[in-house]
Amino acid sequence: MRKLLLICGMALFGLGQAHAQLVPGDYKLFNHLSAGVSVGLDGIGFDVATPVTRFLAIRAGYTFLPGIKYSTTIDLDGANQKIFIPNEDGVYKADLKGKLKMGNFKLLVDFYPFKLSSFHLTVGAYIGKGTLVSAYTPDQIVNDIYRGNSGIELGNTNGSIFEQYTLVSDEEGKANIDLKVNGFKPYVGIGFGRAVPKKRVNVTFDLGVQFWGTPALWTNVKYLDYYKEEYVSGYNKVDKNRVTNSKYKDVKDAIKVGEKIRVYPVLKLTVNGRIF
Amino acid sequence: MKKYLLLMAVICAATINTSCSSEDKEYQYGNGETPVFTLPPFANDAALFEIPLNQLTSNGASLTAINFTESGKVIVELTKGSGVSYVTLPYNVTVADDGTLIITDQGGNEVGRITGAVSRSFGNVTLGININVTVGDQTYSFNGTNVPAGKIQNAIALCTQTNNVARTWKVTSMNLVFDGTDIALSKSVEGGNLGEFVEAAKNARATLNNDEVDKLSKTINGITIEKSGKFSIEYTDGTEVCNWNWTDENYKNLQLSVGKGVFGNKFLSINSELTVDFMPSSIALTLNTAITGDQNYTAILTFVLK
Repeated sequence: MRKLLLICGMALFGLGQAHAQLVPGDYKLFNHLSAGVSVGLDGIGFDVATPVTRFLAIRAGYTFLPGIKYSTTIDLDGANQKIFIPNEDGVYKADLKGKLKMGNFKLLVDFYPFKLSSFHLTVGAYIGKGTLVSAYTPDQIVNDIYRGNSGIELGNTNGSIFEQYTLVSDEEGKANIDLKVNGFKPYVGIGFGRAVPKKRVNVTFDLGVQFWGTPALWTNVKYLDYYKEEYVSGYNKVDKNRVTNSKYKDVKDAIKVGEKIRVYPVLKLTVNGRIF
Repeated sequence: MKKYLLLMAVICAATINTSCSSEDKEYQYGNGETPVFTLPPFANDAALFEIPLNQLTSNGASLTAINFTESGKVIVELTKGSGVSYVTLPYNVTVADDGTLIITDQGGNEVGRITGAVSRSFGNVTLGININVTVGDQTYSFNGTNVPAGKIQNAIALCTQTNNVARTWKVTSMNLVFDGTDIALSKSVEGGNLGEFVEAAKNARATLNNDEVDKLSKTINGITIEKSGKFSIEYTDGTEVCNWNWTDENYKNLQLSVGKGVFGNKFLSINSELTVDFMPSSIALTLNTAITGDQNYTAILTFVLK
């Protein structure tokens, strides 16, 4: 990590001509431009920054977490075996792959309230795809006649017909489930260090939170839609209030826990180099 | 330094507030009231006429009943020997100004008529009947005047729910749910082909003999519920009719009961109780039944009818 920061700092230092240290009057819109490389809980990031006034600066960039992948094998056992396709060894197991995705563009505004301090308040937003985690079976696991219309009953089979809520495969007979948050994630935080360094290079520290909204699980479900007056089957947000089958109380509880995680902490260090 | 700590505390407090979980909410659908459906075209004139045996005969069969349904369909009951069969005719019926029932084919051509003060009169009536019934290769011609008949109209309690269900329905989709100690599995199909459930039933280890498989391998063209108390299912190869009534004054469940002819299959049988769920302009008819075999499951069969 130290080597990485050193290399980035040297690279930035080598760019362009040397400039004198900035004075307060130098901070005007687009008077200066800096580039930075960050690392933190929001991943690895690249951004550019420009001052607006002595008290304000704008940063824009992109952060991402390197793709974290996960693989496991799930059992397709029990009486449901008839709807599943065994693997090439004739065993009712299926590969399940998972991937963490976090890539966001960011637009942030730093406010420096104190004349003699680099302390800043930051507001802005991270903007990216909403899908945070994807889990899927790469191969077809459900027999053809059950694709997209048959699966595990999550609803109350003893109640009204409208309370039935079935977890199904997609039209290709594969299972997929995604954890999604808002694509637009407001950010608020504090930090130390100027985005456009007074000297040639500096290091800034930021601490804040992204507001994700309420995380939701998305997968293929089937239910009788009261208003459409027909069975609908497709990729939809899982409504935890419809998971009423006591056999799957754990699923509902897991969704409830997940819905509580509405913010994401951001803690990061950025090495900035002033270009001009 | 103190002000920085205060700011961090504010941020943490804000995030804690936004992290509070939402309370569970019961899933809601509709507004809790039964919708009111538009009455079908023949709702006020629909009637069942029961005709004494051997009063009208043709080619060894006796016309023993003729239903004019709320949707303007014509269902006839033929008695031949000890057997009773039903035929849904591909005809429509309209009412003339003098109350005569005019029966027309799909092209609007008259193929029969029923005379004799039939419209909006009750109890025993005397009819003039002229109608042809084709079953497979056999055509029956029933013609007669002064035919005594018992007229049945509103045998079922009149209410919004009765008016809503009394018509001919088309099956748009069906859903079958198996529920057992180890699985809760469902399968849905478009249309009314019960045969698509055969393989699903077998996969749920239901034991089906050839006769049951044959009976299941049928497609439902329509389901007719009448205020005269008749419940009929029109398959592609014939019609089965039984009786029905509400089980209570909540008008939520209807009970089927034995009629004259053969009725039912592995899933839907005489003495079945069906739950009616109303949607804005259609209904879901749900039957709780059982699948027995190596494993025992409760089965929930739902017809979405429009």
